[in-house]
Amino acid sequence: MIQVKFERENVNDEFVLVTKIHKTNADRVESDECVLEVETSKTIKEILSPATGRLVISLNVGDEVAVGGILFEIDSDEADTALALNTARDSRHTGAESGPLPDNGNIRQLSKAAQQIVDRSSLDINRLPTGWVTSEDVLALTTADSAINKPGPAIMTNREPDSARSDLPKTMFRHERTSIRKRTEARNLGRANGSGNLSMLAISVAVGTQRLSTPPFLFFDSIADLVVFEASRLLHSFAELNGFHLDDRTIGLYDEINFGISFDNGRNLKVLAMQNSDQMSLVQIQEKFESLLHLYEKGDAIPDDLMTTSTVTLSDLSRSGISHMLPLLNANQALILGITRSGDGGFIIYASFDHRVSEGLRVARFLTELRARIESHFRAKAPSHGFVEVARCSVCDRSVTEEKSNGGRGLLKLQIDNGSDGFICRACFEGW
Amino acid sequence: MNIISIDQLRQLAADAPEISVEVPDDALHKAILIREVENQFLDLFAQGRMNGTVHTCVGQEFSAVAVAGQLAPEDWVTSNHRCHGHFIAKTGKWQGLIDELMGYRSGACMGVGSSQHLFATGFLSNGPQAALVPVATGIALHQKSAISGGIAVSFIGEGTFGEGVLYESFNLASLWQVPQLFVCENNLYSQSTPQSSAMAGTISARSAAFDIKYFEADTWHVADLLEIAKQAIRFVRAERKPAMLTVRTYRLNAHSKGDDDRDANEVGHFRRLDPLNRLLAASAQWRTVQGSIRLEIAEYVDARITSFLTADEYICDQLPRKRPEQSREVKNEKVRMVQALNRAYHDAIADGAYMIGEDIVDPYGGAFKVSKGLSTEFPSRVLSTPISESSITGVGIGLSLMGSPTYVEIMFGDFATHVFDQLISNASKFFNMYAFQVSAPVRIRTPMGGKRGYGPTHSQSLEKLMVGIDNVAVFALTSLEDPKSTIAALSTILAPAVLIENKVDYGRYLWQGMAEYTLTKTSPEFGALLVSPRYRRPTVTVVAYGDSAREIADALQELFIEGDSVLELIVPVLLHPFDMHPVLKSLRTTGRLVVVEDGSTAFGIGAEIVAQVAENMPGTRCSRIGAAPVPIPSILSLEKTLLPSIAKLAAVLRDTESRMESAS
Repeated sequence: MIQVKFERENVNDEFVLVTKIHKTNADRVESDECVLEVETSKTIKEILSPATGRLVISLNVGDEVAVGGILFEIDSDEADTALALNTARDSRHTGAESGPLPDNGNIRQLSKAAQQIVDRSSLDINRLPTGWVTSEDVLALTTADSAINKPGPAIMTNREPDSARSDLPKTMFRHERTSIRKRTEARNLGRANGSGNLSMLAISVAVGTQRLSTPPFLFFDSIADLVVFEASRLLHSFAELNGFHLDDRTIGLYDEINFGISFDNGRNLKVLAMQNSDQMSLVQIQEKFESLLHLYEKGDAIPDDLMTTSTVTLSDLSRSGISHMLPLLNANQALILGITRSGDGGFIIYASFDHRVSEGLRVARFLTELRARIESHFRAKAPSHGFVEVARCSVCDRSVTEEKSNGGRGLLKLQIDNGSDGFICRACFEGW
Repeated sequence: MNIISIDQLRQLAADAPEISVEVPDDALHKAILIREVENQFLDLFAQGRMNGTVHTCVGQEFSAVAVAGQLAPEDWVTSNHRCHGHFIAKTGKWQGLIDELMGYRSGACMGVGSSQHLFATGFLSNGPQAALVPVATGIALHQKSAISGGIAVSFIGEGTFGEGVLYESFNLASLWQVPQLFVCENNLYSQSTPQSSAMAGTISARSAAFDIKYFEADTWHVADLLEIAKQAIRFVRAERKPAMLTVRTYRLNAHSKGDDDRDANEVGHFRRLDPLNRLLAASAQWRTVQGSIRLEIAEYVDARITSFLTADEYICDQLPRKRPEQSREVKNEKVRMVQALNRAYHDAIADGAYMIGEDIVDPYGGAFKVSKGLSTEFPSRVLSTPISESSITGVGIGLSLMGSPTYVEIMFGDFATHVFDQLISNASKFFNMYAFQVSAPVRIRTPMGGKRGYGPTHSQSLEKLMVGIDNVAVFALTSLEDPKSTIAALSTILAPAVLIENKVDYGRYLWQGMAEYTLTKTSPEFGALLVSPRYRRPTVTVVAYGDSAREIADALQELFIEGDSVLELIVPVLLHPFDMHPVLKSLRTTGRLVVVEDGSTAFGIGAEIVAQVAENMPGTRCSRIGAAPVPIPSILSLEKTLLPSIAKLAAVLRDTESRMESAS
């Protein structure tokens, strides 16, 4: 039997992640045939069979294997016999992946123990395979039902079950494995970065003198509503920013987007959640802002779900007179946005993020897109980026150069409401 | 006259004349050669150049010369610890003997056997008293019908008359009228014990009790000795009957080395009366011959080139350890196991095998009727024996050594305890001890197992006492498969074998299979049987053999329902050497092992399997089921609770699954 192990390739990696498996257990493989792929901190690596023979493997996609550990074995002496037994036993498998072979029309028979479990769990018996069904088969199916869409635990895991932790958020979240590269980065950041894993980027937002639609009084000199409105929707494309660092292998991704609004009257800083802000219209957000402010200023007890369910936070200091800020992350969050006023009448949006969860480039893209969306709410204004252009979109002020660089063919010319001619980009014409 | 006192012997020796001219020169030459070789061994021992110890026959040379020296090439000799004279007289290979005792590769047995364990064509010796006597009986049985007309000669001492197997051999030899000559060299001492303290009655009376013709002689009347020995040999050869020759003699040296508590005056007296000493004292010519022999021996010793056997060369056996993996499906006829066995043994006997055992001839046909009809068809090859398990095993060894594979039936496996000395002292050791020159393909077949209420001495499963014996293959036949393939394949191995059958299994029809399972064999010769689920993967690996395996196969569905397990049943037909490959392969899928053995689990077959699993797949969950460690009672209900059962197996399986459920 030939054992195939993953040999150490660099000093960073202690384990590798199985990303693809091209063969199944007991398959006959040829020499140099690719059996599986693993992810290291540097790359995705194909693992080839060193010999022709029968494959013996019990890994799943998503499993982690320690450097030096066995990935699979090749039985190069094994004859191709009818005894080639099917899938490898794996107590973590769901029944769908490695359960009984096709029943060939056998009648379904349950062992006594299996029947007891079925009776207790009210499982639909027709979901069980035909043939002989043991309690293990039934449990595998019930476990798959209750599992959070995850392909089985890792081979090496010392992850504490969520139930053992008291510091987890109340908002529902799902688990997502971070890549090997990300974990290595987070580990290295932790060693080098004494202040933790916080990074911050900022972007200036040039706004015109007038919004396209007049906001309530509360937002005459603020873009907080726009930030919440646009950022909530943008977080669908940047899901990790609506999450948090769970452990050294996992991040949590929230199922909801609950923008927490920071209120501080100098006596009592509170963050109140605007729940499901991604599903609210701009008007609803504006109204919610007002109600939360009222609730805060009233001083009464605030419902626990407003206090504890924020998934991302906004801190608007644009009225405070400061120009720069370093917003700090709240627990179990990966992003906090801060707003200040810039000298030219515009705003600066600060994004502090958990570098263990996301990356600078990602956040830069997030901010760039966020700016563009916010600026689209304002009437056309003088160019704010330092060069003169001939045509710009009347709605979002995107230049023809930008439009082309985004893959567009140019701006459409149209007659706008006051009878004058104007230009509009494809996105504004079709809608976001 | 049976002399049992020193005074009588002393008188006899004193009355002996000088060696007469009727004694041939070559006999004298041979006697001197034997003595000089023995003296050389004593010198070499004193110099520390010899392996082990040595039991010289100085003073007894003429016994060897008179008997072994007058045999024909086709005759066989078995001897004991004091065998050098017999070896030289029979084979003439004194150089091989010297090399053997010095441990050289050029020795008679490459140095492995040394002084007591010698082999050459026509000669075997072994240390335990009387161990080879029944083997010689088997050789004689073979010689009885051999065209060559050879005989078998067994050298024993008077002390050997304490061993029971000797009397079994007398009985067999006389009953079967085989050409075996028992030669007792009565030197009045067995080690330190005088004959008068060890023997009741007389030697001649013993011979008469078995109706064996008796001869007597002594080593002081050399011419008479030669003549009487010739008569005895002629009688056995011509009449094809056993005879006994007692040769009164006296050893002039210690039993081995440095352990002589006899009266020095007594020894001195016999040294003076020794015929060779008297001859050499009286004859300058023979002193010259003695000198030249001594010189030749010394020169030979000085010229030897040291070369010893290596571990790589020595460590080997005749067991079928490597078998090609050629899996094939097994389909059985609908016949009962006893019929299948009968057929298989019939074919083996037709190919030239013998079958011997108690009550096996027709009309009885054996206690379990396995041999029914065989003696009618093969009357000269299927022989009923007295109740003499030890000696009939020896006879089987002797027959097989002469080229006739022999099945020795031991009626109940419980009686196999009588077999162990022959199995371990002889059959197991011949191949290595005699430097790969000898094979003894004896097949000991015996039914084991309980569940019939036969009680403590008729219900045991003693296989764990047999597996692991050097060079002995142990099989457990089962009605899961027609035994003919295993029995037929025995012709391909020369190692001795034990075939364990099962009383309850005899009555079963060969397994006809079931829809949910396949039955395959991993290798056509001696492969394990695999009962594997056809439509799904197994959840537990169960190893069982014999009737237990059959019971489990019949209860696979029940074990699924009650034990919540889908078994893959591995049934090793060959218990020793044990092939772990199918077990490990199955465990890669199931990760869980249960071993069911018929005997108790302590230090048993399951222990060996689990140990090998632990070495190869650490962390595998293992369980063993066996009999309770007490004698098996006759009370059927109690017996049932003490032996392995389907209910116990289901409970063990359930316990596993419940642990899994709670863990998940």
